[in-house]
Amino acid sequence: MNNSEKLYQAMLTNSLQRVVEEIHLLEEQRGTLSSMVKGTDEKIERLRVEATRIQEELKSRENATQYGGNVVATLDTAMTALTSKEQELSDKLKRLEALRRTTTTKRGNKKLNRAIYKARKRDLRMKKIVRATNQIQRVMIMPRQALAKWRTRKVAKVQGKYNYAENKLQEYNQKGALSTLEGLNRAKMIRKRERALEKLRSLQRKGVTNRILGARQMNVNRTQTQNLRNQQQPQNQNTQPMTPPQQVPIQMPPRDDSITAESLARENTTAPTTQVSQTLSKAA
Amino acid sequence: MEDNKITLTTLDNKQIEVEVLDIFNLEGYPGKDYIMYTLGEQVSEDNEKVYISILKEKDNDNYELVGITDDKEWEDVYQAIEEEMKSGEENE
Repeated sequence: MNNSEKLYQAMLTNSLQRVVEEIHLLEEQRGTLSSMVKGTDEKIERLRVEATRIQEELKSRENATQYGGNVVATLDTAMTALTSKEQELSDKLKRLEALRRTTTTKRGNKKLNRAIYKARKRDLRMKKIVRATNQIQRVMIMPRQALAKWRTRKVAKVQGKYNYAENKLQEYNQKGALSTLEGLNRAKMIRKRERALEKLRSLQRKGVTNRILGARQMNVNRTQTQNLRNQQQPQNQNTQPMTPPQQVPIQMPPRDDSITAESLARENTTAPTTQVSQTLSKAA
Repeated sequence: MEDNKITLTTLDNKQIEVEVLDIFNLEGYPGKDYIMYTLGEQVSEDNEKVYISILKEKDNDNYELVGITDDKEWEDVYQAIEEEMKSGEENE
């Protein structure tokens, strides 16, 4: 029987002893404390079941050792060899590093650095192999625990992904809520057709007495401006559609830079513009 | 006069005719009328230049088209117009 198997069997034997002792203790207690009889009975029953299970596992492990003994023994031998090799490499690396600290020549440093680099790589490789072999041994000795641990890791991984996704979703929802709020906070246009028409007629009646002192400009899609023009039409379906402004001669004054389109507002296609009413007053 | 054209006098007493596209109010700016108009200037094949002023009525019932001096106010007007244009497109 190999060492690890012995160890595990010892563990099981200890557990069995502990359980049996507890059973004895509780049986004694049952004798003296009449009010706890029922609870103690149940506990004893559970522990008996546990003791039976451990006994059965011990038996099965004793049998199993005969079948899997070679594999486990081989692994044990390999593990011993690997551990000692790993220790050797580790010691070598330490020696090299100590030597490096005392070396002063360039050539010596260069050689030692190369040797240390190689030794470190070998050491890391060896540690990896030892870890892997250890893991195999643990799984063979305690398959249930190893399986449970693996399952827990899997679940934790999935849970981690789920938590991450949930957090991201919350973030997006918060951003969405913020931008909705921002949207709500934006000033909205209030359009009242009747009032607009009334103002327009009033402006038309006043004619040239209406003065223009300043303006801001923006670029708007022609489809949208055409929509606005169509909306200005009376509700009568027989009305002829408005001709686009460029087809109607506009009474423009003689060319004068001070009152060109540019003088009404400063050019700005994407951002809000600044007022240039001062330009109009300069031209006066 | 055409349905939506008006004549305006500039500071140097020149007269220009503009086409009014809309007169509207803005939330958060009570009692203020804004007027959107155009001189028929094409910026590109798809876009047209429009002008926006505050429409003020004077004591003698005449009107003045005043520029928007406050940047925040202009920002609000600009965004409100853009949103209105967008929702107009969606409703088509």
